[in-house]
Amino acid sequence: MLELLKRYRTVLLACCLVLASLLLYSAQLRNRQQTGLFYKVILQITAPLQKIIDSSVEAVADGWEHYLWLVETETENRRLHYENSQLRAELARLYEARIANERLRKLLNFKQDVTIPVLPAQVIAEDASSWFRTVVIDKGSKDGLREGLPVVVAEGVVGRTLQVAPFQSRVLLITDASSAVAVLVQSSRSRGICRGEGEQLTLDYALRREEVHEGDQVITSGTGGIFPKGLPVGKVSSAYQGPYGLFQAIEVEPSVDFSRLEEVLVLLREKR
Amino acid sequence: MKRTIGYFLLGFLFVLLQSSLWPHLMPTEARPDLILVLVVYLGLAEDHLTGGVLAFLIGTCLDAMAGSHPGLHGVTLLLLFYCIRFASDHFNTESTRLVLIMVGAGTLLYAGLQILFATFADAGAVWLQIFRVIVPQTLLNVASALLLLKLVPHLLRRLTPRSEPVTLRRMDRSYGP
Repeated sequence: MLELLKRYRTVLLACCLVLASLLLYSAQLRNRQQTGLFYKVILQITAPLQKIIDSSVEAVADGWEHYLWLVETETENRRLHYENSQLRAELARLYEARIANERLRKLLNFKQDVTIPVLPAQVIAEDASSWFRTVVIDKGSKDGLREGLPVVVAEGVVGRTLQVAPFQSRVLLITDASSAVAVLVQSSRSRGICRGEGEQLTLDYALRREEVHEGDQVITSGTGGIFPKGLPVGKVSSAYQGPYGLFQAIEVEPSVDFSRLEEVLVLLREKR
Repeated sequence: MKRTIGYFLLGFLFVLLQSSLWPHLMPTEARPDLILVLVVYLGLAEDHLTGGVLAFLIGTCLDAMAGSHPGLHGVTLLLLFYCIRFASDHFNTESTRLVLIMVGAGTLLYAGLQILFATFADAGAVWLQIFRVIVPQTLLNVASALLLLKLVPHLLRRLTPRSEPVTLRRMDRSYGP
């Protein structure tokens, strides 16, 4: 027996290690609502280093844009002046629209939704792998964050908190393949589930008989238990109603540009 | 022991680079996976126990910074290490070309393992995302392995002029006293 163990020592060792890692993986999958201590420690250690790298790269990029590209400054200045006047006009128009909106809201006795406290956070790093979509933000459990909180920007839904360390958190973006958001198409009110596909989203379980068109706004339905109702998710980029089947194939262009994600807002909802 | 800690710190540095520097330098979907290159190298150069533990630890570090399924990278990198380790017994591990082939094959195997183990975690259409970037990902990994193979001996010569070449050390361990 001892001879046999000695002869197959390497294979047995490999099997033991693989088995142990599989057991750990299985245990972590069952308990993934909670961030493990090891992950908290790694997040905690890496965050200051990531901040240093992030700010150094920003400084270098800033230097490049401000000093080495001065040749373009005059043209840029003229363009910005023009853009500024356009934006001023747009702002005045929007101000009018806002006043009108407030007046109408009062008139219709529109009940304001319960205001949710928000916490601004900065994106300091992205996913270390090419095929997953997560980002690291500089706020954690010490700031009142916990797993499963919605993260948004002005343009729409970003994702939800996945792992929370005392001073940092990882956010699962809605474009990740494992992400699913309960949504509805604003115009037709047809419901579905938006799943991530890397750069795009797919809207699953939208009934074939429902009218969904290209350009329709997709918003959160509020039924998933994470995102409040009415947050923009994206716009329908293509809708295909096949000759048979219950559902139609819909692709959604996210309303948020995830490649330019810098600051986000975490909605501090009450624990259910 | 020093070498083992060195490998671990190198893996940690690669995790940092991949999460902080790559997004600024390469705003593309596929980015070089230095950790995979390191694990393939471990498979060719290290023994079953040290290499296995290192691959698992580096994978677990990666889990803290990548993906949404804790433990996934730990398992897949460990399995990748053992596949490379057992395969390398049949080849001349001193060959540069073998390292490049192993990195290419390792990327494909790693992608397959990720798809397999992600299905246990209800990962959605992660396979679609992997299939979309697998070709540029493989090419980038091979290119970065080639770059590292050219750069590392040069850096070693410059930084530690008296240390013996890495390949000789590996030969000594295999055939020496």
